[in-house]
Formats: sequence, structure tokens, C-alpha cells
Amino acid sequence: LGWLTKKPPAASFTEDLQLVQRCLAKDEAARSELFTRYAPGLFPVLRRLSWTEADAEDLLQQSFIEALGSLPRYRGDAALSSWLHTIAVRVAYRQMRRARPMVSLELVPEEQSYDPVSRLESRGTLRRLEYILEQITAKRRIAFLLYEVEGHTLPEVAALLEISLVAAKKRVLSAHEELRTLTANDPVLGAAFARRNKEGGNV
Amino acid sequence: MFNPSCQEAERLLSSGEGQLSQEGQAHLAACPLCAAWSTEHQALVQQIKGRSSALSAEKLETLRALFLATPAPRPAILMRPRVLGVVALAASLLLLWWVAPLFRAEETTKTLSSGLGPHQGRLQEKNGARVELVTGPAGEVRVYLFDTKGTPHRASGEVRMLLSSEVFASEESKLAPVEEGAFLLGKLPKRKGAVEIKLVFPSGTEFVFSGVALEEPDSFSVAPPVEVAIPGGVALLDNTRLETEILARGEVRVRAYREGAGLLPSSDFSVPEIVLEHEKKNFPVKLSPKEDYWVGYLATPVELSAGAQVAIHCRVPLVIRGVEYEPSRVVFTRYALKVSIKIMPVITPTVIIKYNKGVKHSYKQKKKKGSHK
Repeated sequence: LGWLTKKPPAASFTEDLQLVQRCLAKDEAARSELFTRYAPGLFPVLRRLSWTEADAEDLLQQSFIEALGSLPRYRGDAALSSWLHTIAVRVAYRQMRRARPMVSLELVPEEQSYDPVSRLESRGTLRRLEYILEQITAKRRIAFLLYEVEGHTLPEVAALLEISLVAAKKRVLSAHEELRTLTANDPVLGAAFARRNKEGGNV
Repeated sequence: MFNPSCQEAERLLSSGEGQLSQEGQAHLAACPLCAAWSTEHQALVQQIKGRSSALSAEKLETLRALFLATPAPRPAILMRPRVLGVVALAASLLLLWWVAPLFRAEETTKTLSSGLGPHQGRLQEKNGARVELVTGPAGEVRVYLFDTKGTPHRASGEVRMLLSSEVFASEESKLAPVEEGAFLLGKLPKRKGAVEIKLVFPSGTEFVFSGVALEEPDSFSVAPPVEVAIPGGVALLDNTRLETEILARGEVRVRAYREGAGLLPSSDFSVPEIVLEHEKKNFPVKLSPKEDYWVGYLATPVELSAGAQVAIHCRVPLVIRGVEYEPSRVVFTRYALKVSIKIMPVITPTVIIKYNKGVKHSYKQKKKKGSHK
């Protein structure tokens, strides 16, 4: 787990530690700097792990609040960015487990005539995909998102979720299988994928 | 056949759609744990990746201001160093208090209460015989014998009592039959701690009871056994031992013994009412405090066949030194010795008060009063 354990460059590491010390000393400017320095990097991750931008903003706030509470336990074993990333993923996962699937009216399957390809490119179809993703259990969904969307390796996924490598693999695989079944059963996406497979092209 | 590692396959996958090599495809097909990913789902991945994810400077500023406005979280109260220290200290003291008696057993035993503590199998049946072991606060051991129908039986021959424990060698004594009561009488020696009492009958049948001796009994005295109708029911409530005894004349007595305090005065506990239950009939008994026990009298006669099962339980909460116990926790299941229990006469004096205006008021005052025949 090199990305978790490797030490950052000396200057950056020192800066991180100093920043942490200042935050612990209740330095307002340090807290501001912590947020300004790391929030832009964390936000895209949280945005991809959440459904809406507002959700991502909430998660970002929550992540930094939790990080601030956990700063006394930060010992510099990993880069501050990695450490914050881990906290953010944990916060997102917790939120994912807590949140009940919400079905928007826009996501109710439409039976009208349509052009599958154009629909797939439309905003509505994206939401349909997201809706399908939401049907997957939180633990599988976050493993899938971390692996496929965030591009983490399976060992990294396992470390982030504090599970074994085998469990991480199984969760990702299960997510794939569920997605395959759900998309095949979806009247819009199923047709689109069938057509794409037939044509051998990309969607 | 080329068989790349899972990591290699991941690298191939993450390199992008359309660039997956044949080897990678083969591996994905063969390795079920490698999370083989159909390329059609890359559409979903790309869509999610394509979400507007940049944080504008304006939004960043807003969120930063919100973050700074949020009060810094305080660690949970139990995680605060000072609280942790206090909790750890308290836990250490508690542990010390619990462990210390193990290293000074001699001193501790002096503060323990009377008799034999909870012992398993107070009533046991074997080879057509039923044996009940009852121990008293002063060290007496009574062994009641019944046949399978519950009829009291007399033991013929000599019954040996073997007392053993982990801390002293086995001691053997003989149980003496008591003439008027169908039981045997013995005595616990000055011992303490876990004990095992083995009764060996002339036929060779053995009954084994185990329990904890709570005191160092050095003497014992037994009330005239003929009076006892339902002997010593015992209930244990925390470190208090509650005993009932129902005498043949209908008198009900409840005593309490407490670790470290011995026999409690009646002012220290309260048993205002108990109920004798036999064959689905309830016989309530109101109790009042005497010096070191609570006493009451059965209001109606109770016909009991010898060996009949009787349950004695509290109707109202029982209070011992300010601690209230649910009535359901105090149930004594006992076996009668006598065929019937007599009752005490009820004296009902009538008092008439005359007022100047000539109006008469009268009331009846019921009073139960015990008298020996």
C-alpha cells in the first residue's frame, strides 16, 4: 500500500506536520489553510461518490470536521492528503449506508418511443444509470466507485474500506454482476447496450 | 497460456477502453475474483467521471467560511484525557477491591454471613428416594427424606456426611436422626469457601450437593422440629439471604442474613406481605416486624398432604436496606412436612364510643394475635 505508507517529500511532510500542529493549537488561520489546501482535491472524489453536488459539499464539510477532531491522532505515517482522503471515503461510505435510495420521478422508466443512443447521451439516461447504481448495496457500491471511477487498485480499495483484499474483490465483482443484471432489465439502457454490442462500437 | 496477475489486469483495465490486450481479456475471463468488467459499463463509469466536479473559487470560499464557522469538535466525553484517567483509576480500584480478597481470605471470611450459600440441587431424587438438604445460619444441616410420593421417610442405619472443599481435606461426620421430625441432623464444621457435601446412605446411594460456606459456624441450635410445617425456604437477593419458615401453628417467619452483617434486624428490611400458594390457591399473610424477623399468621387453615409442593412468594416489593426488589424475584418452592397447618384465632374487639350528643359510632378493630396451644 505504497500510496498510503510512503512518506511525502520532506518539505511537504514538514509543512503538513506544522499545519497540523497549528491546527491543534486552535490557530484559525491554520484551519483555513488546511481547508483551502485540501478541499479542492477532495471535492471531486466526494462528488463522484455522491449523487448531487449539494451532497458532496455536505460530505466535504463533514470530512473536514471529522478530520479536525481526529488531528490529535495524526502521527504523520501517511501524507496528510492520503489521511484526509481516507476520512472522506469513510464519511461518504457512512452516508451511503445511512441514506435510503430515493427514486426521483425523472427516473421512472418511460415506455414512450425513444432512440436508445441519444437517450444514453442525455442527462436523463445518466440519472437512470445513477439510479441503477443506487440499487446496489452501499458496501458494494463504494467498492465499485473506488475501483472503477476513482481508479484505485483493489489493495487500495481494501485498505480504504478496512476489509481484506478478497472481500474487496468480491464486492467489486458482485457490483459488476448486479449492474449487469439491472442494466439488462432496464428498458432504455438494456436496449442501448444491446445495440452497442451488436454494432461493436462504443456508447 | 498467459496468465497475468490481477494487478496486471487492473492496470490493463485502467489504461482505458479499447486498449485491453488479449492477455488481459483472457485473464479477466479466467479469474472470477478479478472483477471482470464488461466494457459496456464503461459508459456508466465515464458518465460518473464526467460529472462536474471542480470546486469553483467562489464555492470554495463559501465552504471554507462555513467550515471555520463550525465549532471545533470536542472529543467525546469518555475520550477526554482527564475523564479517561478518572475512569481508569476507578476501574483499577474496582479491580483491586475485587481481587484483594483472594489474597487475604482469612480476613474476609470473618465478614461473611451465615450458613451455606447457594448450593446446587437442594432437592435431589435418586433410586426412589427424594433428599432435601437445608442448612441453617448457625451451621446446622438438616436432611429431609421422602419417598417418591413425597411422604416423609425415616432413614434406617447410619448416614455419613462427607464435607470436602479445595482448601481443606475431606471430613466425615454422621447424621443423627431426629425423633420427632423426619429428618437427619448434622453440623457444618468451621469452614469457609466452596464446599461439597456428599451424603452416603447405608445402601451406598450417594447424593452430592455443592455450594459455598459463608460463615464459620461454631454452634447451632435447632427449634423444636415438630413445630415446623414448611421448613427453611431460602431466596438469595444479591448478598442477602432471605429465609422463610412456616410453623405448624400457622406462624410465618421471614429472616434476612447479609454478608458482613449477619442476621439483619427487622428494621433493616421490609416484607409486609407474602403469599402461600398451594394447588392454585393463594393464602396471603400480612407480616409485621419483630426484633430480627417479620412474622405473620395464616388467616385460613391450609390442608397439605405431606410432601405437597408449596410456593411462597412476595406480593409487594421487598425492601432490604433501602433497595427495592421485585416480588417476582422472591419465590420459595417448598415441600410440606406436616399434614395440615393450624391457624391462629382472630380476636375482633368492638369499641363503642359515646358522644355527648348521643350519636353512636362504632367500629371493629381486627387484630391478629398469636397464641400457642
